[in-house]
Amino acid sequence: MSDLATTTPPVRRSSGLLGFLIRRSPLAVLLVGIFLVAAIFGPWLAPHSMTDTNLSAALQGPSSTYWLGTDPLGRDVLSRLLGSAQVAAQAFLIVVLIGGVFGTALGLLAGGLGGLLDLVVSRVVEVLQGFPTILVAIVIVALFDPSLTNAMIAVGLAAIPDFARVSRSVAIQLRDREFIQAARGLGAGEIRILWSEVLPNMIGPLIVIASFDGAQAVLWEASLSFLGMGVQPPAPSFGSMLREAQGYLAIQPVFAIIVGVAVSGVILGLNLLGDAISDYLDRGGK
Amino acid sequence: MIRYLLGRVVGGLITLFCVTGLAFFATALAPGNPAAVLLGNMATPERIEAITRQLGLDQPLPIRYGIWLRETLLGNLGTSNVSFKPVADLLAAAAFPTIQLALTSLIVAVVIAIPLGLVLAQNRNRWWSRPASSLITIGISVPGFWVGLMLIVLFSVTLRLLPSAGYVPPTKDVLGNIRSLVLPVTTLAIYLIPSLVRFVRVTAISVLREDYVDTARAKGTAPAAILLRHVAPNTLVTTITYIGLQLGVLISGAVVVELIFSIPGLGRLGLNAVLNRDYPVVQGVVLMAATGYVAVNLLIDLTYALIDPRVRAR
Amino acid sequence: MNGREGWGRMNRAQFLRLFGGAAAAAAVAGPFGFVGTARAQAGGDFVIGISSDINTLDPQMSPNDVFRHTIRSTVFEALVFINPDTLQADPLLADSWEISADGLTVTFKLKSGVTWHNGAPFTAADVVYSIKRVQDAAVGSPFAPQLVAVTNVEATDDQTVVLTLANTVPGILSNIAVIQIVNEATIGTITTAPVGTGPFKFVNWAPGDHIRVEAYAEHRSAPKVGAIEWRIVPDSQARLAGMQDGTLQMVMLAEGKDVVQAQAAGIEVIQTKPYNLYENFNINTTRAPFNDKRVRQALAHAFDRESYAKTVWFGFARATINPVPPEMETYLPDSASLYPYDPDKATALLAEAGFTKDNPLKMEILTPQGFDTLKSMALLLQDSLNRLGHNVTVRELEVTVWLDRFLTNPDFDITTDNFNTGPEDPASMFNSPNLAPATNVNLWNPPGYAELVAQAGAEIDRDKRIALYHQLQQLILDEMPQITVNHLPLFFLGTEAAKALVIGPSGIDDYTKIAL
Repeated sequence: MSDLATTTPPVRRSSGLLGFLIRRSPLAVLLVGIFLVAAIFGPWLAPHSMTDTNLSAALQGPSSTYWLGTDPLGRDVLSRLLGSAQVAAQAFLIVVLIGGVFGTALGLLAGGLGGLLDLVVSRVVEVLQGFPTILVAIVIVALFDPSLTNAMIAVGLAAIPDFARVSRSVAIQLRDREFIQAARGLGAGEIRILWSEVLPNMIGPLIVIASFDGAQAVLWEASLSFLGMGVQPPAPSFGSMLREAQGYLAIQPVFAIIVGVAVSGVILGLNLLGDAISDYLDRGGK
Repeated sequence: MIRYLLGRVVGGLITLFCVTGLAFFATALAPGNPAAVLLGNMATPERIEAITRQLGLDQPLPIRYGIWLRETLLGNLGTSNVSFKPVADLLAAAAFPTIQLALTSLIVAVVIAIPLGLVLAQNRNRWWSRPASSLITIGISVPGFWVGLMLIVLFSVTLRLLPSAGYVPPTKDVLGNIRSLVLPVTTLAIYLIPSLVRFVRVTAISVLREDYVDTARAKGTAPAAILLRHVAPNTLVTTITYIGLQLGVLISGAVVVELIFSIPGLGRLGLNAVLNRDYPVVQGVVLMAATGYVAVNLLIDLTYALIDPRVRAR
Repeated sequence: MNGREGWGRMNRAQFLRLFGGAAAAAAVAGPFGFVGTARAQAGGDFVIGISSDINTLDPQMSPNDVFRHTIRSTVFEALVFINPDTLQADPLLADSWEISADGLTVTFKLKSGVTWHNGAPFTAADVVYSIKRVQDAAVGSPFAPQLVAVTNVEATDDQTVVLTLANTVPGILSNIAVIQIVNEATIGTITTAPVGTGPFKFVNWAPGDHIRVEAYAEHRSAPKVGAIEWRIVPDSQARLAGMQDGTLQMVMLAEGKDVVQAQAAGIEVIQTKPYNLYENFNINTTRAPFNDKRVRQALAHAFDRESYAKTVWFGFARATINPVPPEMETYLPDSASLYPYDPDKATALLAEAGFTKDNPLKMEILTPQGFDTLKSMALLLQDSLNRLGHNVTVRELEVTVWLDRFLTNPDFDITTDNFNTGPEDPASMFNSPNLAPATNVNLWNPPGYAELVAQAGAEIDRDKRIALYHQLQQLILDEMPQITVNHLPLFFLGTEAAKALVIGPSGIDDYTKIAL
């Protein structure tokens, strides 16, 4: 998970991380591995075009030509799933970047410095969170254009409060602890203390939130596509494929099962990986 | 303490003001004209203008916002552009199903998730702990509309145990009300439980590593007693914040569940209003959701202050 | 509209425009094994699943409202009802009528003893008020075009209404059949508590959830069910489940894939005549290069409507390029199969208009959210043209935004759409929002077209009329202002009881015969 790694501080024995993860949660590594390969190399791996229709081959089950069958317009399901993985990876990145960077910064400053700043930030966060995500998404999509980026910016905005509240509450809990007092006693500035003492101590909870919200981003992409917002046709996405598959549940259940398993597998993998990473950090990288 | 709470109330009011203001301008700026929705293909520039004037949409935005603000403060939320019903009536009708759905789901989720999280934390080194956690995680990995649909296929169509759709108010039929809520609540709870379990588990594990737990253990206190006496209360404090944080997730999840199970709640009302550009209803729903949000978080802050002396001291 | 999948009332919102509401569908047949739930039966409720909400309770407004027939067919009545079997007018609020020899005066004798739901007597003044209200430009009723020829309406006594026409209108009774009569005294509350003369009284509309009407016992043909409730169930699979577990007794307007799945689940499916609806692409004929008819003709050749009908509609659709169905006597013989799918022909025509691989045609196809078959249409045309080297994008728009870009402030190249063919009246087709000379969504009105439409509509002689309509069809098939893709029936899923619903061709249905 390259994106998670960016929010992870340099861990002393980082070479051990992958080994730990493989031992701890092989399923997560497998699922996320497949997801990453699909997201990065999807266009080269796809056996067919993602958009070429072929009505004479609509709604077929798996075959030697179409390994995972075809959709209602005769497009290759495997190729479209590979394309969807790329879309999901983009969704994940946008949401975790927006939510993680802005949310953590806000929460850290508010919780660590307190006072008027805390009051203002808390209000801002509350305003953000008091706003139902679906409404934000609809408005952003309506104001600009329906596109993945716009829909995910809305979800990213909605993720800010998650990061902010957790980092704020950790900062509040930490700021009067002995080691912080000690650092203060040594004359370190507040911002510096936040950066070097408080932030590293909240990485665990933040990763839990990041993995959760990132996986949620993929889920949100699915729900928003369900509502017709997000990726524009004919580009594939997990959400639009799932919605399509659902409509044909009794006609071609294999289509529904394949897409359902693929979507759930990706989200499950991300969630489990988040758990495993947080375990790793809990053990101090051992 | 009182000053602190007073500050929180004022802050909450500011939040309400900002949220509704943002909602007002954002929806008004979004393309799409309610007059076009009313007139459809019979729209001519003159008719659109007439309806626009009739709905008061020809005024400049700030004036419209001022009017809305004044009327809202006077307790008048206006009438729907589409159904011409008072917004207050629409909200009142939609609030109960949503609150019942959300609250029941939350209670079910908390009752299941907290013990589960504690047990998983306590037994984190047992062989079954990891597969069990993974299993629970599946709940948050399958889109809600998909879960709901599978539940309908299983319990309504195949087993014929529960109704597939529709909401029965408890005033009409208590048993019917419960039956109509089983599947929606299950769907929403399945979605809420995994993240709660995970949060409780992570928090409890970090508490278990605290010095005083080691001390208790060294004194020979039984593991179960440590869990109940030391870990559970400390875990609860952070979990309460987390539940407050889940409120947005809860509302968004409720929208999807309301759509799948045809429950006449706030989510459906709001979504339809946005899509129809029914501005007064959009504003009403946002106001209601934001008020609920601010109120619940105020309560949480209060609880927090009561439990954690460090906060109370402020 | 036959779309499905919707999110509340947004979707489907616009279709089935001018003429009869969506409703029309055939009687519902078939033994349907499952017993309804206790709740549905106890009150004698007949529960119908619909995919989206209505827009208004006012029966004279309801623009673009797929499910407007709900209120229009139950709470209100028109003067006459078009019988789906005979296609002739049956008496409703009017007992009898007489058309003068010159065809310019229509005299209606009203039924006596009819009362409004509030007990007030129904009189000729109500009819006069209702017709004038529809004609009032300030009201903006979408039914106004039905009455363009009506120059005067007056009540000669309490039971007699006389219409004066500017010109002969062969289909005047079909037109009158869609004008619901409203009550002047209670017009102020028509959008919240409508009062009609129909067999059902309005009870409640919970926007986004349900519409409920109850039997009006004093009605001259009192309904057999206690109440009808239309419940909004946006998800098509949830609607199917509702049929299977007995929560719903009927589902209105199913798409091809739902029909196939209902059949697999043992639910009987009934359909109307195979041409109640057509799907099409509307083209902005004022915008270059779509003002060039060769480009429009090329698009017609680029869409494989046979495969579309066979695959996306599971064979339930009938491919055609002519909006006029072969069942109508005015149909231009052998025209349905014109413009066969022919990529080479499309390439050649586009090349003539200046578009080649090196100078590709750039075009955006709009499609409204929530209509899966329309989206498929857009994607298939896109794929077909892109494979010929052109540059086509598809944009799926929220319905309100789509309305804006399509109808209110036209800003589009081409869009998918569907349309209810309405009563089998040849004039209606050419006065529809798709083709009406004065104003149509294709923004197309070549010189002489308006005169031809007026001439054909007023022609009394059958052979001459048919010849004129042939001429009109030749014109639109050559000019191709819109690309018609298929004709479709409307599909209903239902229980045994639902069979008794009488579906009128003009979008007004008769619910009184249904018994649980």
